[in-house]
Amino acid sequence: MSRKRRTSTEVEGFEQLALPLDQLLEEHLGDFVPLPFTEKDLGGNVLGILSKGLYSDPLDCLREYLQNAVDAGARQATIKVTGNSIHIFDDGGGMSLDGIVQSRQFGLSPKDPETDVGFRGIGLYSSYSLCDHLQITSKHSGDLRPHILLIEFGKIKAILDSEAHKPPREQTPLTELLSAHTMIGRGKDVMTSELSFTHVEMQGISPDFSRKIGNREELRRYLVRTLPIDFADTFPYREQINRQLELEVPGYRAVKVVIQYDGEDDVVISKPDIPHLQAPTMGHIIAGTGKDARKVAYYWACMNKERGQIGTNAKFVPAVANCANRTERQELERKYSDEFSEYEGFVYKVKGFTVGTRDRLRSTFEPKPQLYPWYTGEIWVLDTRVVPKADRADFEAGEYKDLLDSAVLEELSTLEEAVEKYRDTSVANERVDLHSAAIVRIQEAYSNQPKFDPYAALNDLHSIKKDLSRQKSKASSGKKSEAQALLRKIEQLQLELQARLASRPDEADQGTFAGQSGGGEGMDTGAREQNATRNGRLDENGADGARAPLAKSANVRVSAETPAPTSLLDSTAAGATISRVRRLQDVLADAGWAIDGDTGRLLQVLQKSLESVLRDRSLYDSVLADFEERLNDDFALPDGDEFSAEG
Amino acid sequence: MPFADTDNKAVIRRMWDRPILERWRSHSRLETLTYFGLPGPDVCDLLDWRDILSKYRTGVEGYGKEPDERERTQVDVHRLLTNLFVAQISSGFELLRGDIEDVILDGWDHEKNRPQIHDNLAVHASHFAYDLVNLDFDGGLGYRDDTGHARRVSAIKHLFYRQEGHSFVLFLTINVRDTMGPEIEDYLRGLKSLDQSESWRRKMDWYLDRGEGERAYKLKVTVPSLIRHAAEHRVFRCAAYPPIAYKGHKADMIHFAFELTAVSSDKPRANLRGFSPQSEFDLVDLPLLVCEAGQLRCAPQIHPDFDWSGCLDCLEILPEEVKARLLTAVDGSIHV
Repeated sequence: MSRKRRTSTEVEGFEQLALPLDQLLEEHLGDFVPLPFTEKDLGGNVLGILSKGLYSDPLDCLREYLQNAVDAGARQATIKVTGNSIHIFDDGGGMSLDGIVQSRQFGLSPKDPETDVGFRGIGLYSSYSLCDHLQITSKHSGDLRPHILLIEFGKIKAILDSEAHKPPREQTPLTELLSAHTMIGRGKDVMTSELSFTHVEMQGISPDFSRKIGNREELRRYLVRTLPIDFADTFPYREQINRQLELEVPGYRAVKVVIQYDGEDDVVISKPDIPHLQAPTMGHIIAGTGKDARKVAYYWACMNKERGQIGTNAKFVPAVANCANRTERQELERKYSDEFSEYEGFVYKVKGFTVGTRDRLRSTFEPKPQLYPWYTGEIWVLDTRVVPKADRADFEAGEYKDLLDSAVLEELSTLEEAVEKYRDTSVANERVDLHSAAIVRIQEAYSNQPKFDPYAALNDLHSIKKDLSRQKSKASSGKKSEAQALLRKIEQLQLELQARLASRPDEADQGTFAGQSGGGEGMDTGAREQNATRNGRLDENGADGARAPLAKSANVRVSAETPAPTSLLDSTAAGATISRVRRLQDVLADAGWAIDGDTGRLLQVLQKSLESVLRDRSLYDSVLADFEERLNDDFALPDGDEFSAEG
Repeated sequence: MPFADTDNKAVIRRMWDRPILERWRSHSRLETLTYFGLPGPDVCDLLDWRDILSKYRTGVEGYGKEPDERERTQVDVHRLLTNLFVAQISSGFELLRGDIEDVILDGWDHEKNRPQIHDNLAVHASHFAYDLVNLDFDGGLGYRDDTGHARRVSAIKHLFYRQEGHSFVLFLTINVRDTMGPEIEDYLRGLKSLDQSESWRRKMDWYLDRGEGERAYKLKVTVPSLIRHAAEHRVFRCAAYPPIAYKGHKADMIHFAFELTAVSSDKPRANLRGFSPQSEFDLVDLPLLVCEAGQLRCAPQIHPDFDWSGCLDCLEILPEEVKARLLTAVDGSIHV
């Protein structure tokens, strides 16, 4: 049998279309004949399928119309909700008569995918399932009068409903439905030639849409996520970032969006002014090398100065900080925290519209995903070969998407290193300051307190010295010098204290031992040394010649009058010097981990357990230091359960 | 649906209504005035008064009873909003759909939306608190249904319940044609019976004798009296300006302006009735003005014994040359 394909002109009887297909096929057995697609093959239900399928969220249709506004160069768009209608007005370039006629075409668009976002030619019908009546008035500059397009979605839906049970051949085809219920007119009002605008009205909106629109917070967040919204006027880096984006991203224009509800003040939608951010890092993301190198994106990124997730900066918002009422302050802080949390991490933008979510890029910060929300930023895709899917949840799969992803991964890894370094440096600087204050307290106690405990002080100094040595390498250059000076001071103090102990046997006799029943009173030096050897490690840092404290003890002086300490942190004895004891939570927080809910409670239990068992301060500090080091190493769970019995 | 703007209407709005509003604003120490009314697709009043109106304005646009009518009104509504957006005065504007009479009587519109300025009482009992109510009707005072009930008249009366306790300016524009039939004449006869003096009876007979094409004169007496009574019943003091007759787009119209002062807002609250500064006789003595070819002047006919002295105060709002023109009689003499 030949499988020849015959063109329509070769097939006798084709033109008439009246020849039954069955007969035609009989006459051309073994061959193929063209099967024409006529308007009768396109049912009206495709409108509902497209609109509901592509725009699963009712707010997506708002996005579509605003997308057109952006493509038309609008600087401001107003969304007005009044009665049973939603209006979208923009001051963009408007549509000419040709433009408005073309706007209703399916899958055809005069827009340039290089410069415009909406180019698929379907957006006009996005509100089909959500309203009864779509009316668009648009005036192009140069025209004296606007043009008006009217589509009666309600009537189309009513007809389709009434025909639902009819056989296909009796159902009204899509083209006929749209032809009968789409109208165009020219407005009577004469307007100034330079004026241009587009006004879209969705009238008779569905209850579902009405509810969504009525949820002000959800609408606000949706718009900020999906539109090229400008920053708040008060954001300190607004001009800097906008200027760069305008230079580097073709067609970039931040849009002001205003929402108007009846009886309420206007809401101006903007990206929030998140306080305490560092100045932005900005730059191109390059894919490929050498002559194949290509700018695929441009990004900006602001790191949190406060060493934590962006969302936690809510407490620095002036309205929160200045709020006298505690309950109100907490409520306000929660509100801002929720809002700021939405900006943690990075998001892809194409012509200002968001593709995917910020979570999508979290994995680029492996193995330290906890540091990802310390940043807020955007990645503006420049490579036009990387195409967003219609639902904007991701890009269409392909080679160029993969190239983009790789290049972004590489660039974000430098940001990850930067934030890690920042974290380590700021933690180190902070620790230097803390230790400096602790040393001062020890010195003061040494000088002024009659019941000064040299053993406790030596313990503290030992711990401080260990930590300072560790932190010195990570601190900033100024703090490095300070740390070095502190270490010298510690050594000096240790020598003095050792000398004091040698000259005051009574103090030596009253060494402090924790963990021994009945306390350590009355033990002689030899016993103490034996205990020191048996129960723990001596100072292993022998380079400075200072000996480890003879008693590995809690920071309290144990005597007959005072009860034995039950935990590491008991500090009831007078004259005890206590340097600040870090807890597990502190270590995790410094490393950038968010602790809440069950994790927090678990940590509390672990902390109590540690305090109860590790009464030796030095040991406790060692455990914590080891924990901190491991935490700061690459943290990646292997495949499978690391904690399984086999592991 | 209000008619499109005309020169005469524009003159009234700018030369007459606006000074009234400015005087009211100053007297009430209000910075801007909230608005409730029928702006129409051209929103001429909202544009002309934009600097003295509050952002909180409620406009009512018809819904249409028949499908064709609904489609037309939908286009009008869209055009109204377009004009607001283009003029950048859309913020705070609320659009209600339906007949304004129904909004006043029922408390909400066809889609169950309430005017944005209300006191949160149940909808049938709620009060509004607008500073300006602009009832710019295209039709007449009342169209009676089969039972003889004129819903528009009921709505005008009920407006004073809705606005009870809140002082406001009322502009009322109606077509001189209506289906009130002989009820207007009956009202005039009723007024005539208030006083037995010869001059009063002569005056009222003059109005009763107005014929074809002169209905504006009869309405000029009837409407202010009706408003005054309805207002006083709801404890307002009512001060009326001289009405203005003019030719609209396709019909003869008459425009009224009233200042309603809520006595019930005095301390202690008054409950019984308001006592207006103008008596029934003063209202009849107001002249009828006309606006023709964009000019305000006195109507060509005037009732016997007319005397300007009783109503010079309300002309103070006008520019001198306009006032002078008004005071010039048909024979060229100037009335002072």
